[in-house]
Amino acid sequence: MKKILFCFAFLAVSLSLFSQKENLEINFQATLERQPIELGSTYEYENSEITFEVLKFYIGKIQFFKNGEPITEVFDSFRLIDFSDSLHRNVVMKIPNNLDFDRIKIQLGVDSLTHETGVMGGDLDPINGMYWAWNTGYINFKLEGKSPLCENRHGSFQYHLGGYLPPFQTAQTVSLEVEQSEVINIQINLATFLKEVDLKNEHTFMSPGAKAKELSKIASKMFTIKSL
Amino acid sequence: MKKKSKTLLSILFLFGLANLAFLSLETDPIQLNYPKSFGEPTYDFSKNPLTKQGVELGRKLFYDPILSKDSTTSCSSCHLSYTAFTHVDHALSHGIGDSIGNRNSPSLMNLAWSKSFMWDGAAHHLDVQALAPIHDSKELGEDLKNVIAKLQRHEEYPSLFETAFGVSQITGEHFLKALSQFQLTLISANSKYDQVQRDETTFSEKEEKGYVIFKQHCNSCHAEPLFTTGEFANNGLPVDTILTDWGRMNITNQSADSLKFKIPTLRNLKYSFPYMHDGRFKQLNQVIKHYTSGIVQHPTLASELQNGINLTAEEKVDLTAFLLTLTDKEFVFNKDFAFPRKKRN
Ligand code: HEC
Ligand code: HEC
Repeated sequence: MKKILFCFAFLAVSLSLFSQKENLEINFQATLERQPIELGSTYEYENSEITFEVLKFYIGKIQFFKNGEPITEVFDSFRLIDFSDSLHRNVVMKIPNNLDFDRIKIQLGVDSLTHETGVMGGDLDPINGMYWAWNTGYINFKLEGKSPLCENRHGSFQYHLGGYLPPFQTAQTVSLEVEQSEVINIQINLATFLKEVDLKNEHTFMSPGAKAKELSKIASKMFTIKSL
Repeated sequence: MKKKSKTLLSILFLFGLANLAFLSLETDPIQLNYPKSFGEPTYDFSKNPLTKQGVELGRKLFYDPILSKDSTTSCSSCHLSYTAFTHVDHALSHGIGDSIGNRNSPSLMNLAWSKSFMWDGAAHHLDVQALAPIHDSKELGEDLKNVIAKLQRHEEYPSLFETAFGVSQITGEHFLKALSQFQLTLISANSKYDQVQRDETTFSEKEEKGYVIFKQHCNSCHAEPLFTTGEFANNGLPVDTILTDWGRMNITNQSADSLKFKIPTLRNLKYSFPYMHDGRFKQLNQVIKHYTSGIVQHPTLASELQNGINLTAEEKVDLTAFLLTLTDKEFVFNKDFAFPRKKRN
């Protein structure tokens, strides 16, 4: 009986391969204001300089809207966007053919419900280093680097944002007006975040709570549509 | 549909079948036996179905010091099967995360019914609990990666993972799921108390009297038959001024959770001394003395303990007699849970 069920499931999956879908690619580009940045390079910042070493975050469900109405959503699994690896700076997904949309909403971070499932594989495997071992839960967003502006021994900053327990849930939704296209380019302006945090004194942040929630909201504001 | 795609479809279909046959050949599902009164487990077995191969792999990992950086410590160093999977003496080894060094290792049993793990509930799911002991700092850095790399290089593990999970490429997910599988089999349900519930034996007069006292004063937190509600409570212990451990508040950042700790099971108490989150009491009579005359007032103190619990000397003896009926020798000496010795043919 199980086998038969499995065959049906398999059939369904194979069939769906033949139904009409097209690709949508979402690219992420990190910048410091208008300057595109690469990890490991040093840039001028606030009369000093700054180097970014880690930029990683999870994205989940993507919803499509037209004239304010939800049309469809796409979600197969959480994806880890990792700027240390040029292959992990974009996602390619299948969307229905001729989908007419003017806005997308991207889930940033791993939601509470997913946390309850226990350990998961793929991009969610804790081996990716996006997991807290004490006070367990996913780290939704990591930004690390160095700057003489940080008053600590190594002149370094580390922002690890996460937390799923109410009332300090940190998963965010980024809502973006977009033009219909096969490729959507999203800019992540790190300066938006850095301006709001105190690099000098609050350079290290790595636990859930009210502050994590506040910083996660600020982090979500970095995401805009790239103006070419 | 076009002919071409039909052929393709049937090929895919057959391929699927072949795959299925291959997978279903390998593993033997395990059905856990437990008393109905335990209720539905909290653990979602559909996400990690127990198999003989998965459990055996988890058991091997549990006893293998390969999990620690310097290959000296295994899970069993602090969770010994002969003492209901707790550490016999309090002094905990160095090098394990900062809070673990301050805390008493809890006994491990009936974990499928636990809602959270650690004294403060820091781990929300059994699968991810093991991340804490296998690395030093508060955060998961390279340590899990290193463990997986060591396992991948090992002569036996890749094939053991393949038989248990169908792939020899070891992942963090499969590693953690295997550890869970073994720990989920640690069911203790054959103490004298359980036998009395099944009408196989009867309590002595003292035990019976103790049971009545227990139900009156202790059952609201240490609820039968698991002997815990799985909730957090402040049971009136004075704060250790050196360790200053705020318990659940460390996790929730809410003052209402200050000094609340997870209510531990009372099963196999005989083996799980020293008692409390910091192991401050070596003997059961010290625990009972705490409840009768040691309760410290605090805004979060549980309401049922506000006035302490009044017990005569005789009642204390009866209560202790009852608590000792929660000892499950079969659990403690179960060979399936002990160090996995190589089978000889
Ligand atoms: C150095 C001693 C030590 C080692 C090694 C160790 N543990 Fe623990 N374990 C503890 C302590 C102490 C706690 C309680 C920690 C706390 O509350 O913060 C604990 C808690 C647990 C819990 C939670 C139990 C509950 O009911 O809350 C589980 C499950 C567990 N350990 C499993 C493991 C596994 C699996 C390993 C091996 C990967 C392991 N432990 C290695 C000391 C240890
Ligand atoms: C309000 C809830 C509550 C009540 C009522 C209560 N306890 Fe507890 N008990 C706890 C909590 C919470 C802990 C863990 C406290 C800690 O470690 O800080 C605990 C710990 C214990 C321990 C230590 C177990 C171990 O493995 O370390 C024993 C033994 C115990 N209780 C026995 C009793 C007895 C006997 C009674 C009745 C006289 C009782 N408790 C009533 C909440 C309660």
